[in-house]
Amino acid sequence: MKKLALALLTGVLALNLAACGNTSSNAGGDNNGGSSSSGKRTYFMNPKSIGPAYWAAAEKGAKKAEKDLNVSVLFNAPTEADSAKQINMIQDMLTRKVSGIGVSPNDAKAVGPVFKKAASQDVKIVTWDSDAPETDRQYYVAPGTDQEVGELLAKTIGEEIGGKGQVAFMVAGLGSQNQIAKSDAAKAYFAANYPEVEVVTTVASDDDQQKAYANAQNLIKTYPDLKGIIGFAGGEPPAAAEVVEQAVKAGTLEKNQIAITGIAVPSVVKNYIKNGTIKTDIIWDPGKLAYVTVYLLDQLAQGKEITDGMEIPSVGTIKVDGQNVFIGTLEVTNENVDSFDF
Amino acid sequence: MSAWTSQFSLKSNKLVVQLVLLIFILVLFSILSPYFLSVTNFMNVLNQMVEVGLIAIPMTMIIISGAMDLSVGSILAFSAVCMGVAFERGINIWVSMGIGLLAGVLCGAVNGYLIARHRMQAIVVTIGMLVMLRGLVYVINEGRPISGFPDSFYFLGQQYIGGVPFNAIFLVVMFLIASFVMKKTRFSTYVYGIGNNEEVVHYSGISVVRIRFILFMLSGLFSALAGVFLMSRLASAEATSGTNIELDVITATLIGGTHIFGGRGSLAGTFVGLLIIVFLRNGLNLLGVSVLYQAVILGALLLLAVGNKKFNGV
Repeated sequence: MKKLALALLTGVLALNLAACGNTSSNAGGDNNGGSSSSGKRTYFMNPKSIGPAYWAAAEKGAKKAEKDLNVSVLFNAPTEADSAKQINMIQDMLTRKVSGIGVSPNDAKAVGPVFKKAASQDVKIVTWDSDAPETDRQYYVAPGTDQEVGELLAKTIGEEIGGKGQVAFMVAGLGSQNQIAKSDAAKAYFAANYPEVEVVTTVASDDDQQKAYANAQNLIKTYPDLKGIIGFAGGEPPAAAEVVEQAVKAGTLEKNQIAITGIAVPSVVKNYIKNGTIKTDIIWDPGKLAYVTVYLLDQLAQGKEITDGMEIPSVGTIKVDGQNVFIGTLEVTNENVDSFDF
Repeated sequence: MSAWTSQFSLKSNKLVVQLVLLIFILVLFSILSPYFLSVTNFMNVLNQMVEVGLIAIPMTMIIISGAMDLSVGSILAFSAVCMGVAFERGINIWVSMGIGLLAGVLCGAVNGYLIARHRMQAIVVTIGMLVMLRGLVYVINEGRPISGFPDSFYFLGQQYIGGVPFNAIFLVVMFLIASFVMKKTRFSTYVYGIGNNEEVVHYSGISVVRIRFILFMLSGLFSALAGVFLMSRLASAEATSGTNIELDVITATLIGGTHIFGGRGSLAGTFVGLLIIVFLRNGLNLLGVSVLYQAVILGALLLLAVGNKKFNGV
C-alpha cells in the first residue's frame, strides 16, 4: 500500500505542479518553436497513418505549404491506421493550441466528439482524402467527385477503343462506397455516350495484388474479344498491364488489342505507359491535396473566405461545391510521365 | 517469509527508479513545452490512459503468475463489437453493455480453460485467440464501424466529475481495489507463488488450475471493460479497435518493474509505468515529434527498464 500511496502522491504532486504551471507557464516555456505567442500560425496535418508512400508524398506537399505560407505545419499520425491513437493525437494537438487541423479520419464517426471540441475552441477543421460528414468539419478536400472520376475513365477508354466493344471493370472491393460510385458513374457514361460499349463483368481483388493479377489473367481468357479494361483502384491497372504485356510476349494477344486505363500512382505504371500498354492513367497528387488543405486552413484562420474558382498558388484553381473542395485530377500520358515525382 | 520481505524491499527500490524517471519526464516536458504543464493537458492524458490502464491490471497479475495474455486487444474489439451489434438489434444500451462484458469473460474463460486445464502454452493460446477473435470481429460487423449510441452512454468516457474525467476516477478506484487484493489476500500469495514455483504451489494442495483460470477470466473482463470505455470515449465501435494495445500494456507493466518470467512485480509499479509511457507520448506529441521517433524512444526505455533489472541482480 505504501508504494501505491507514493505513486498516487506523485500524481497529486504532478497535478499541483500543473495547477501552478497555469500561471507561470507564460513566463517559463518559450523554447518551443511554433507557438502562438511568436505570431506564427501552427497547423496539424493528420493523415491516416505514417508509412505508406501515398502519405509520404502528401507530407512533401504539406511541408511545401509550410514554407510558401510562412506558417508552421506538424505532420504526424500513428504508425498504424488506428482511430483511437489518431484521436489521442488530435486531442494533444488541441492542447497545443494549433490554429487548425487537417485530418484524414480513419473512422468518420469517431472523430465527431473531438471535432466538436476543436470547433468549440475555434480551431479550424478541414478533412482531406477521406471525409467525415455529419461532423463539425468546415471543408473536405478531395481530388474530384467519384462521378467525375468514373466518367473521365469511361470517356478515356471509350475514345481509345473507338466507341464500341467489350469492356471489363476491375475494382478493389465490391462493397467499398467509392468504388461503387465510380463504377456506376462509368457505366452510366457508357450507356449515355457509347451505347455500343458492353460492360461484360466487374471483378474485385480486395486490394490484393496477386488476386488482381489472377483476375486479369482470367479476364483475357474468358473474354477473347475484350477491348478494354478499367482499373478503379491503385493496384488494378498495373496488374492488368502486366498480364496483357505477358500475353503479348507469349503471342496469345496482339499489341494494343486491349486498351487499359485506371487510377494508379505514376511511378507504378511508368514502364507500362512508356511501352504503350497504358495510354492514359488518371491520378491526383497527394502532395497537392495536402497543400490545398494547409492553404484552406490558413485562409480560414485568417478569417478569409473560400470561394469557388479560387486560385491557389502552385496548385491552380479549385472547385468549391458546398463544403466540398475539389482540386481536380491529372492525366498521366507518355509525354508527361517523367515529370511526376510520386 | 523472509524471502518475501526481501523481495518487497527490492521492489520498492525499483519503484524509486521509476518515480525518478517519471518526475524527470514531467519536469523535462514542462520546460520544453509551454502547453504540457496545464490542468487540461493532464486531464486529457488521464482520459487517454484508461483503456491501457484497465487491461494492465490483470496483465500485471498474469505476468506475475508467469504467463502472458496477448489476446487482450482482440478481446477488447470483440466485446465492443458484440455490444454494438446487440445495441443495433434494439437491445437496451446497458443490457448490451452486459452482453459485451459477458463476451469478454467468455473469451477469457476459453483462454483460461486451454491454458490452465490443458496446460497449453499461454503465448501460443493467446496468439491463436488474438488472430481468431480479430477475424470474428470482421465477420460480425462486416468491417464497418458501429455508432449512434445514446448520450447517456457517453457519460462513461466523455464526462468529467469535478474537473476529472469519470473514466480516470474509475481506473484509479480499480487500481486501488486490485492493489489491495494483491497485497492483503491469500489469492495474491498464490499468484506470486505460481510465478515463482508452480510445482510447490501445486504440491501445497492449492489448485493452480483454478487460480490461472480466474486470472484469464479477469483479463477477459477487464479487456471488455476497456472496450466499453473506448467505445464511449470515441462514440464508435470499430473492427480495428485495440490493435496492438497489448504492446502498450506489456510495456507499461515491464517498465513498472514486473519480471517477465513472473514471481515479482506490483500494481503500483505498473501504475507508474503507465504514467511514464502516457506522459512520454503526450509530451512528444506536444513537441511535434514524429511517431517514428516516439517508437524508438519507447523501445529504448523498455530496454533500459529490463537492463536495470539485470543490473540489480534479480
